[in-house]
Amino acid sequence: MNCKEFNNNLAELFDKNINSVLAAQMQEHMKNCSDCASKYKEAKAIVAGMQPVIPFTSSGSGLKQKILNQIKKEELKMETVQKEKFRLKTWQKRAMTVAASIVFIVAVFMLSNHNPLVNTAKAAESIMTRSITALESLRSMFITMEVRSDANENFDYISTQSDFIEYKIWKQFTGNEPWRMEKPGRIVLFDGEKQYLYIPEASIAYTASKNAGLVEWMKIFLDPKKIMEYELEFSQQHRAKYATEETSDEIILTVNADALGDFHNNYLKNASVPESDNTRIYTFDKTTSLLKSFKLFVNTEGKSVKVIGIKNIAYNIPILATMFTIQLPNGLAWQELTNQEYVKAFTGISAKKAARKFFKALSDEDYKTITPVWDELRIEDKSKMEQLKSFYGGLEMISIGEPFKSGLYPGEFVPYKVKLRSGKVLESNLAIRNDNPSKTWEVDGGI
Amino acid sequence: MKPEREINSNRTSEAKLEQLIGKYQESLIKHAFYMLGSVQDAEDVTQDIFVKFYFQPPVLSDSSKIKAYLYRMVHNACIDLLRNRKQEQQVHINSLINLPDEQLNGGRKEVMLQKEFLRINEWMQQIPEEQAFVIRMRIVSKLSFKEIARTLELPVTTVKSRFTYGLNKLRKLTGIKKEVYDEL
Repeated sequence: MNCKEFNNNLAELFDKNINSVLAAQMQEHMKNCSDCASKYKEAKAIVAGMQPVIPFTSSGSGLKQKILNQIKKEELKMETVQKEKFRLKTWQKRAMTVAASIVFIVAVFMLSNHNPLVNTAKAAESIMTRSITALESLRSMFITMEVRSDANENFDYISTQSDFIEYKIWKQFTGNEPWRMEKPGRIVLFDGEKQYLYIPEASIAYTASKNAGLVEWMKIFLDPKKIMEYELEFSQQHRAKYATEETSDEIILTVNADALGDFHNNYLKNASVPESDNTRIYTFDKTTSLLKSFKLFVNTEGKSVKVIGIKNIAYNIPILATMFTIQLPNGLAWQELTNQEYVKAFTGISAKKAARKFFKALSDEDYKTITPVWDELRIEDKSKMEQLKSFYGGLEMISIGEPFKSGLYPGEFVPYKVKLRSGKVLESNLAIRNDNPSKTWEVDGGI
Repeated sequence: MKPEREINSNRTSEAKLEQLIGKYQESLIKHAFYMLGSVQDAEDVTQDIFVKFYFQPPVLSDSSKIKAYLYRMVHNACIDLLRNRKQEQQVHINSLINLPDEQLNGGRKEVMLQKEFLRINEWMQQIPEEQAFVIRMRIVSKLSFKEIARTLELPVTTVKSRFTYGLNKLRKLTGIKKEVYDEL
């Protein structure tokens, strides 16, 4: 071991679990190197000096009770907020229950008198209708589900070739009806006004409009009532085979459907689920008629592959308001998705190419492309901005040189020579930098 | 790709929560205290984190990840709190170090802890924040480098580098002091 290696591994000697082989090598090195030995000695003295001398004890014996009290308080707050909304919904629920009962009676009557396949379909419709009624007055919901998808893909991506990954969905059915959907590496949420997409690993943080398609077909899981409404509509077209089963506390409805139907198109999209038959299994709570779980199998090449499985749905639970916000790490800011296609033009390219694009846009008077990357075009003073546009607009590029770095400036300088519309020739260095999370080149100066 | 799951229900059970509180409360409060310098604030932060954990438990595969998760939550909450504190308050805390015990707030024990915090914080203020975080976690909170890496969601190599850089910087600073002292 040499001194450089010793220094690189110095931390090892201060770890909780020391690598004994490495430690022995370092001890051996110190025997022969007084510099490293004294370096270690000094470091050890500093570590000892920073150790707390007084044993830490909090007054925390009552903390457990405080936590439990705070939990009760949060739950109570949630209940109070929802009460008014719930009361308004009650009349509607009663009316729907009556309607559902009628459908159920009709279904039972038909079951005893008609063709078994038709009768089963009618029984299935009855189950769906009851469930729709039960799902009518939800206040909140939390779903955990497994989906054959990839972490790097969007929420709508499904493939029978992928492993299961966990999706989680939170939805508040009151107020602005905010929701949040999570899969490993990705969050999309709607806070009642805007949608947000956050991909931590890629440092991507976009905001988009209320109706943006950050999640598309998968959005159906934000409202289980809609799933049942689709299913009911589907059954009325007689395109599926139904089977029902009852246990002491559950009702299980199995739907074997032709994947080419409308339901399939609306529900699964064809991007990642093969064109094939599928089986959908719904489990309802017998007492409440609420949907408890759901499984979707794709039947392909003689095999039945489960692609979605809802593992748990918790209804009417308190959800903290903080769930519908995302705290970004320092240095990362939300960007409007509308600008992204323009920003993208300045991402993943060399400084020289970025400079060329910038001047090309000025030459074409294409300010839309460069506004997101040149803050001079985002200033409040409109008349100043217009002056800037008339000064540089329509310029002619003469040459773009090789970029260079200088001083402590984190970006690069790109030499340029342009001829303005006025006939004046400008020769200088464009200062551009991409030391931001998305590595997008931004024009910093030199113009 | 295996789906990570162990704790996957919509809420942590009260029994599980109580178990976690019993296991980690003291070390989390200590960690928060040595970032904030106030036992009360440290307890409040820890309380909020456990409440959040109850309502929105993360999906984690083993208990070591739970520990890292809790530390991370407490650590981030402390950073937020520190950033929200007014500058004057920070100055006020720093000026406390020279005050006699009777002029500091709180009981005898808390006064001693406050002084201990100020003493350690003086070291930490000499080095960049990111290095101070790692050193504080290792030396004060006694987390291993692997645990720190999980908590800060960084590679272990980065954590070790930050520790070494911080330590070397402190070593050089104290070395300079020593030379000046020797000359005198």
